[in-house]
Amino acid sequence: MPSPEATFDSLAITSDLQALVKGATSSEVALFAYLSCLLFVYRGSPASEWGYGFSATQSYAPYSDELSTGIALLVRSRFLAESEHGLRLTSAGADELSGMAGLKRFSDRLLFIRAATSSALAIPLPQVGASLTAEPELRRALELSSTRPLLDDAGIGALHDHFVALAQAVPESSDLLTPAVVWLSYLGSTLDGLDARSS
Amino acid sequence: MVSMPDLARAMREAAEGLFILRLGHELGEGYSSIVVPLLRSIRAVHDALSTERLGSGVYICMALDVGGSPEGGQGIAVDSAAQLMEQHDSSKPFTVLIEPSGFRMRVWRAAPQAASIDRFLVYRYLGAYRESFVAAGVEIGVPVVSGFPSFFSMPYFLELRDALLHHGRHCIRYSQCEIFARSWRDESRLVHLPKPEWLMRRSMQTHLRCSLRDHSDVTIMPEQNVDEAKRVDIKVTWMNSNRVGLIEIKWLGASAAVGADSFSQRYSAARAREGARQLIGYMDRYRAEAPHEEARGFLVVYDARRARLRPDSTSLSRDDALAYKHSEIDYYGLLGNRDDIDDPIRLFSFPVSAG
Repeated sequence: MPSPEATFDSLAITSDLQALVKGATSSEVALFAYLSCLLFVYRGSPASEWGYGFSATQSYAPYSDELSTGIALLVRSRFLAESEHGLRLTSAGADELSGMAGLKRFSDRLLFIRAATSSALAIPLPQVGASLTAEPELRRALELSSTRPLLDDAGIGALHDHFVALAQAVPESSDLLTPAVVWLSYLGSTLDGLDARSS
Repeated sequence: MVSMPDLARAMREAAEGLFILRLGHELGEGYSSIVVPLLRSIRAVHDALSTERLGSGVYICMALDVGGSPEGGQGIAVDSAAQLMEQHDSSKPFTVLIEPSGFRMRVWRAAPQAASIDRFLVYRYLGAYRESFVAAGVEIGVPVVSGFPSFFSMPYFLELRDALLHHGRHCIRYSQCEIFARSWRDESRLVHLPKPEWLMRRSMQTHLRCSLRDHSDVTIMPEQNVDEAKRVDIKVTWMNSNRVGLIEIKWLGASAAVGADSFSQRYSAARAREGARQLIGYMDRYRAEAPHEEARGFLVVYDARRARLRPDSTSLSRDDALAYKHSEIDYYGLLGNRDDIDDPIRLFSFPVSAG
């Protein structure tokens, strides 16, 4: 069974992307959940408290088994439905999200989820995923082993320097949208300097 | 290894000029509670009204304090894209006030009153590539992305073919993409400069990076040594998937240096068929090398063929300029039995005088 956090995040991210681009793919849900988790860590919380974990795929994208299982369950339960634009909330899914969002356990997560999904209003949506492929923890994980979990104790140090530099670059920002957009813009600016992926 | 001061400097540089930061600076603490609903609404208005219909200007406003309207009266309440389209008159400026909830709007068929503007965060679109915010009297620019008239009207695609067709219609047909536009020898757009292919690759890469959802990378493949088998020009990889898109680019027409008395290259339909053969060979090799990947090939032909063209031509009759507009390429069944290669895509580009 997926964690309740994975279920809530799947519904909340799908809802936000549905408002933006009429639907969300399961890869986009994993991507924005990972970015939300990174912002949670940026704010000083341990990744282990996020509620579920991530691993890296060979295409430098984050993946979560819990989210994947959760989405499949939400589709079977008719809280999510497939469409030509990706997954969309059904009316039952919207009610479920509304109910869960009323609980503090989940409402606190919306701060991070909203900042992550709102970044796609300031940066073209596809560039969010492309920029995150340059994220140091994803890159390090794949250099070591594609099956190593992301953001574990051994790997979190790779992000530390980035977050310290980010806090220096936007020192007076209490809003998480600002560091999210600045960091993604920085990562995107490094993309062409990275080696081309395997041919 | 990048040092901490260098990393912080690089992040500050990345932050410079970001419109979201400048809005935050002007609006102060809690700015995202105003900016995010406004940005969502801007996108919704652009989804409902194409940029071609907005030539008279659209102003989308969010109140910075309680109440008030940017124009006289109460305006007309709308809460759907259909109602928005119904109320819009493309011959007049259009003002949209976003209610604080972000779900309802009020509209006026007029520009906002200058006297009331300081009480609102205003987004204005005044025509292709002319959009900005006005916050507390300060104008804040929006990034210009080549080939997209508005940053907020950028379409997103799940299918690579759809994104490539859009690239043809909205970036190449009238050289709307400024990267591709640099490939012409002069403003008549009859003849390319020598070796224009790198600008075509860059134009396509920019378009796909901005518009293709779910991709993790759009890579321009490195040039090969002459003794190596040719690789495709662009490789697209997707997130959480073994799908790969392999794009071979060919261009047709002529290239010549400024002032040259001969063409440096002249390519006919045979060049497109050569591209098809190369793509077949590459797909076969790729499948053998990466059997676990689901690779799909795309041949994209940038077509600038003109009739009766001379190296010094700067104008042609309309018939000669558009002689190949509808001239589809016969591939002699080369790709007929390949279920791993999409139908070729021909992107015809118009000369200026024939546009």
